[in-house]
Amino acid sequence: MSWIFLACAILTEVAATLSLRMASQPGGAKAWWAGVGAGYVAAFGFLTLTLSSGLALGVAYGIWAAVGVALTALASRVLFKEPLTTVMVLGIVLIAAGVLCIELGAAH
Amino acid sequence: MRKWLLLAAAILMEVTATLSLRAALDAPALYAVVAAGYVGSFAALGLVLRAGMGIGVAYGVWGASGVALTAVMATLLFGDPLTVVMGVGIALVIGGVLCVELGAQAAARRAREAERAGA
Repeated sequence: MSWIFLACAILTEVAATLSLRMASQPGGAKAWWAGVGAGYVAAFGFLTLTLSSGLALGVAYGIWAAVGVALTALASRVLFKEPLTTVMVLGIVLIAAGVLCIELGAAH
Repeated sequence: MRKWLLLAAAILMEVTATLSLRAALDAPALYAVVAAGYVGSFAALGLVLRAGMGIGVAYGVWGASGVALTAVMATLLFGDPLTVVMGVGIALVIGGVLCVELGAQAAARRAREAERAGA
């Protein structure tokens, strides 16, 4: 169950971040800010459920942050046609691995 | 250049807010700093996007730098342990951020050249 909560926390976070992109564009509809707020509140709510159902904070936060960054980069490539080169993909993999190391190292 | 300064401001406010969240357990007045820090951070992040940085780049650099800086500052301020694995993680994050930044700059340069060639 904790993994389903974690997946929901990641998806709501990515949705909120993509809404932030829409809201901050010149001429972007202000309604997107509601999506930003609701998305991040839901993400932290699901993250809390993940922790209360037994997953350790270091593991949950590390996976949440790392997968969120990677999914956001992929989604912005598809939705907004942002550039995503091989070097950038390598960088995202390094960031994900680094965040996991920090959180897993802190858990012990 | 302006967007990188804004991004740095967003990261510093986020780290300040997160560290205050920890310290607020002992001093509840710090919850005001927590709220102001997160609101300010998202406002700065919005300005970064408006200045033209891609959300993939901005969010990756913002999130990762926040995690790494928070780990370092928690060690300095609260005496939290900083293990070898965490040190490796911070080095990986820095390397990853550099790769994303350099890759994004190269992509922007190519896009400008393609635009000139087409014009």
